[in-house]
Amino acid sequence: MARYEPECADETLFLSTDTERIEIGTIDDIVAAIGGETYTIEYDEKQRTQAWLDTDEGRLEIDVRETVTTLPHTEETVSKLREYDMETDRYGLPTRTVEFTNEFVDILEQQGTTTT
Amino acid sequence: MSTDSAAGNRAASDEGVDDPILEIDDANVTYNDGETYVLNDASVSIDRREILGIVGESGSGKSMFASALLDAVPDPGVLSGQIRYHRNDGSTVDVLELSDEELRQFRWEEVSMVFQGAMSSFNPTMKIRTHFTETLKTHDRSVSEGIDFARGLLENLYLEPDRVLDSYPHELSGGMQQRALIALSMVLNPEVLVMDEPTAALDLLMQRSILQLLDDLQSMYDLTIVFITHDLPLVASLADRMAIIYAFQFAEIGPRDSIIGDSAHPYTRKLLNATPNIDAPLVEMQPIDGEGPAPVNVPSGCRFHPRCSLATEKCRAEDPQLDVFDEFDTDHRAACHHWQEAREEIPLNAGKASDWYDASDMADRTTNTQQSKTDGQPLLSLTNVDVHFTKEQGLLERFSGDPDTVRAVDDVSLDIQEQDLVCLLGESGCGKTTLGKTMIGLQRPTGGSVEYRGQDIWTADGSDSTISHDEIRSALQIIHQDPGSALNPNRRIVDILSEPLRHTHPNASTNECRSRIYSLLERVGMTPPEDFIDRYPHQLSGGEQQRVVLARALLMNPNAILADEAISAVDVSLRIEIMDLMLELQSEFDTSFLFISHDLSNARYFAEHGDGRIAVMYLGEIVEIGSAERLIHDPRHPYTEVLRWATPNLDLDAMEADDPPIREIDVPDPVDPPSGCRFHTRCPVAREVCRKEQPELQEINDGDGKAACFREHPDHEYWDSEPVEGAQRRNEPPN
Repeated sequence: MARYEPECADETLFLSTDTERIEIGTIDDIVAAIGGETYTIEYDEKQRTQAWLDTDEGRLEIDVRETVTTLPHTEETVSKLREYDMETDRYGLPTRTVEFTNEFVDILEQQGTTTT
Repeated sequence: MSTDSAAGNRAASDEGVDDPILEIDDANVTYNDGETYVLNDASVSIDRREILGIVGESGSGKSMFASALLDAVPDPGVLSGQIRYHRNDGSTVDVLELSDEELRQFRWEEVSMVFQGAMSSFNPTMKIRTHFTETLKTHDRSVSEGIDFARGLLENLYLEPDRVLDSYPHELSGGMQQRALIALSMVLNPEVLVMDEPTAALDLLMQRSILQLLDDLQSMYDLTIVFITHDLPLVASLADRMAIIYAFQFAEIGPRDSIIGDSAHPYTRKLLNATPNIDAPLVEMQPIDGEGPAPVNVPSGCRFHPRCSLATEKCRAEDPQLDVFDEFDTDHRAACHHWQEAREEIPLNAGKASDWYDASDMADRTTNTQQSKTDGQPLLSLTNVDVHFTKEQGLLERFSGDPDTVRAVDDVSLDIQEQDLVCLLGESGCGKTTLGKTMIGLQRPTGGSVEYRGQDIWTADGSDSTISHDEIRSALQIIHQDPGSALNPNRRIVDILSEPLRHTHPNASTNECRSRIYSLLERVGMTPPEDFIDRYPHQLSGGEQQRVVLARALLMNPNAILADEAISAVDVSLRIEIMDLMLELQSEFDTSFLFISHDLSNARYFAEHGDGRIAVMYLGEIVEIGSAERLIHDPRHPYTEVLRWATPNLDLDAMEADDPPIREIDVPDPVDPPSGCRFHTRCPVAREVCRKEQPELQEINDGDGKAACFREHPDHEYWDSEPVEGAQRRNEPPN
């Protein structure tokens, strides 16, 4: 399955493979739609015993701007995003930008017990 | 360490354990200042290099036992008792006396755990490789040596090490994440692996495959495994010994064969009889009345006595010891005053042969049944139905050919008759839910047609339509997998059930509505209804919630109900009861049922009792359809054989599983399914022609139903074609 890497140009996020480049939206819009510069995942007592987790009493703070611009995405995610337009306005943002933030938050919400 | 348990020490040590690696004595976990026990007087020894299967229903205390083994009981729980770990060098560790730093080293280095919910313990911003390196660094191990070891582990788990190590968690399927977690739990080379429902979120085929891999890893790395699950048949195929936990106490412990074939506790025997399995006679599967108690409501005496048909005054007054009960069977312990009566009066149905299968008789029977059903117009008729999700093309692709398409459902034709029953069976992502939703008008097909009593459901309300769209919508209902999320948490049961009545009986008075709701609640087994009517969904058990969802669907007077994995979330002991209820209501309300399942045992129970069919789906297509008994005893499609293999049973003679009849564990990417026969990349008998040509679903000879496999056709070029790499040449063409 193709991996879509994030790519930034003129403050805009694209997801790209060797043959395709899909526009997602401006980074500022994405960060704002996710809810700010940081996103906290909270792990329960059992989860936080995992040796790979370096948390502050179970809380892992994620730098949203950095993660949005470094985390690759699957072809499945990108095929869903293609269904949405960059032109259509939704909550004042392009629909694809909003759908991307939903997908992104889904990835974060799969981890931990609660997220804020 | 002493305990305040009211029952006192109810357990003797394990006579059958020669070289214990873990000894748990009188372990208790309490909350509410010692008032509430969620693990009570647990005493068991775990033999070095054994696989101990611990079985219990939800809320029975089995996960708490797993946490206790690593002294990881969630706050504010208090763990008391004694847990001793015996190292290979002869030294002994008192786990409950370890300092925080000693405990940190003990966990994962000596006793490691894959716990329930571990798939949510990744850091989503780190690659899997970093999860390994952080684990190795935290425990002061060499990263390069550790990563080499990890590569070997991943390979043994049928994963591509480089691909997995270079992936982020969200880029892996559930099965791959679970195997990566097993490798992570083993990278420090622990002696003991504790696994709490490690496969519960996975498909049956992946579950069974992982169990097979665990069996291999256990012997390869000399591991001791404690496998905790609600799924008795699943762990039975793996375990050396089994322990049954009920209401926070061990009810029975013994060698696997004794527990399955000669159990002594009534709960174990009833649980075995309540578990749907594909070999036992259907008529003898019986649910267990009632439900297990909550921690604040534990009965006095034997905790099982309110559900036990053998209970006496002694059982109500005196908590039985978990002890050896038979001097000739010293490695088998049970906590029952009446173990002899239990063995005599509760016969086990597991291991008995199911009803004799005769292909021609079955073909006649099914043909007659289907003939009587097909006399009239079908209730639902699907003709060449496609559900394709078209991908928008990239700039370069626009010049280079056809657009890419995700074929979630591909060219499916199927008629559902009035009062019919069809089970859609297959792995995750095979399209069964999409097809089910398309059948009841919740998903619009991109090709073909779906008709309800002759009316295309997507052109209803047009000028020439005979049935209105609203009529069709209320005639086709759905029951979801998770009843909790299907019910509005802020509304009382009476309000939830009044909603559909407003549609079907808009002029009914409040009293009439209440009366209808009361009688339906009684009918679905929620008696007396006044005890339930004013409750909120969270005040009901999972089984009760599912009954409310069923009642709500029935209040719409539906002609077809789609039950999407509707019993997966229900405890094993209640599954047969809920399925029986659905079947009774099907005939009472003249409804058709579309039952979606990944579990052949459940599908068999439904299809056989409801005189229905099972349709096996693979990557968007129906590859075989027929009666349950024909599919189980005479599968014609190699994929049906795989599902048959993946379905655990309780027959001791058949328990030692052969290698899976499949070449690849992982399902191909549904975005880019294989050419020709879509199963050819995993099929053990695929030949070159299967890569190019797609078999059609056609009637089979000497049996009921249809199959889409070239092996059904004696003159097909398949028989002269060469096997693909890794496949076998098997059998001659049928006559």
